Amino acid sequence: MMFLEHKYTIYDLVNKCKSRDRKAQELLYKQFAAKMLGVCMRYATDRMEAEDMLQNGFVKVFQKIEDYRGDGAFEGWVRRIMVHSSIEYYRKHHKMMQVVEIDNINEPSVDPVAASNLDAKDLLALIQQLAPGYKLVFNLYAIEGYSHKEIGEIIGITEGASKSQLSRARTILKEQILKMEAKRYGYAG
Amino acid sequence: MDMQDKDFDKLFSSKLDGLEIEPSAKVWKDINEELSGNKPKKLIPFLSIAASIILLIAAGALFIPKKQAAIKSPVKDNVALVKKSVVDISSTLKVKPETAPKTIMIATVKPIHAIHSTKTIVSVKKEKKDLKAESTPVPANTTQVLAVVEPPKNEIKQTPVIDNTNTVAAIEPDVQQSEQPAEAAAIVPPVEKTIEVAHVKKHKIRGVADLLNVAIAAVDKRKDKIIVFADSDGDGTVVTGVNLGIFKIKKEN
Repeated sequence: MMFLEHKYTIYDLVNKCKSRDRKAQELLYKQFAAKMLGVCMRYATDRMEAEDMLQNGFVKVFQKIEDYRGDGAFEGWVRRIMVHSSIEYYRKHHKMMQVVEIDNINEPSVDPVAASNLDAKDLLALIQQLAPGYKLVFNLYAIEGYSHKEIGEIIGITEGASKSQLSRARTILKEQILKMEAKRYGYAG
Repeated sequence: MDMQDKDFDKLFSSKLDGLEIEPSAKVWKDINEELSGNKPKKLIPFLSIAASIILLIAAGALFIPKKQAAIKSPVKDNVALVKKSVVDISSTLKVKPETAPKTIMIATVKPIHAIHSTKTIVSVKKEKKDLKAESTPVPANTTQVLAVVEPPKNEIKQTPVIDNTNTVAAIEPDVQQSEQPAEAAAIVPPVEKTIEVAHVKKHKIRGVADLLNVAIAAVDKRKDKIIVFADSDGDGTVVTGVNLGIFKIKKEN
């Protein structure tokens, strides 16, 4: 059975999904679900929220699949829908631009060698702890690779606001990394 | 050594870009249902809003007409209302010093015993004191209350004191005494008499509300019944009081 399933190409699956073939939809979902949950997790506060985002995203994928014309990678198309689904989720459930006061104005300095020892799980936890506005901008800029202009358009803020949010997000992340390292290696402070 | 912003961003993107986490089985199940047109999750908040609106309307329908009824037919309501009518008539007392006092007694005693069959002597006495104490005239209400009291008043006018029914006869000495506040204790005996007369009258059950009240009174011996009804002119039977122990509503005014 597994062998048969793999005989379908993504192209075949997409075509079957366009005619609302439930089995094809399930196969397509299984193909991308884990990867897309990895995307949603960065925008969410926890796994439950991420799975809600994933669900909304996939429903949208299947509803809009006729719009996919085959230009560009299908995975990139699905991923963009996931990102937008996550942002939409934020609009509904969180105050978008919740501002967190930062006491420390000086940039904390982070040792790159020590930072590279942090694993994906640690980094994900750090992003998830960010306030919604910072989280969105950092994800979109640093990981998704959007420009400040694009980010401003997507979430409805100015380019300058996007820049300052990114810089604050980095500051907070660096502070958190320092705290994490201090804890891990038993440094005082 | 410090990190450049670019390197810092790269640290995150390199480790998180390819992150894969297997979702729980529930996600596909929910997607499948949503694609089939079932949205059970989204219906629940809508239903709860609808339910609370219906509850509010129901609560409103229960309490609003009761208020109007109380204004329309004050005599049929409870002690507080009767008290008020006493005050109202006491203003007429000032206008017609001679005939008015007699009408007052009928007006006050009759409604009380017709509705509150379990009313004690003490409370009746108290109301009499109120009659003397509350002398503030309410001219606006005078005509209305006079209209309510009219039948007994006419009776008195035609046959002043001698020709009256037992009730009036019993009250008469009381009225005279009540002119002197010092003799408040002397009020008691005549009042007892009037109660006896009134007790005969209470058995005349008029309307659905009285029937219900009597039935409830047989079970609930408290002063404030678990639920009290009154017949109103326009709206049929309405609830004028609820007593659930900790939760009490009593229609006054």
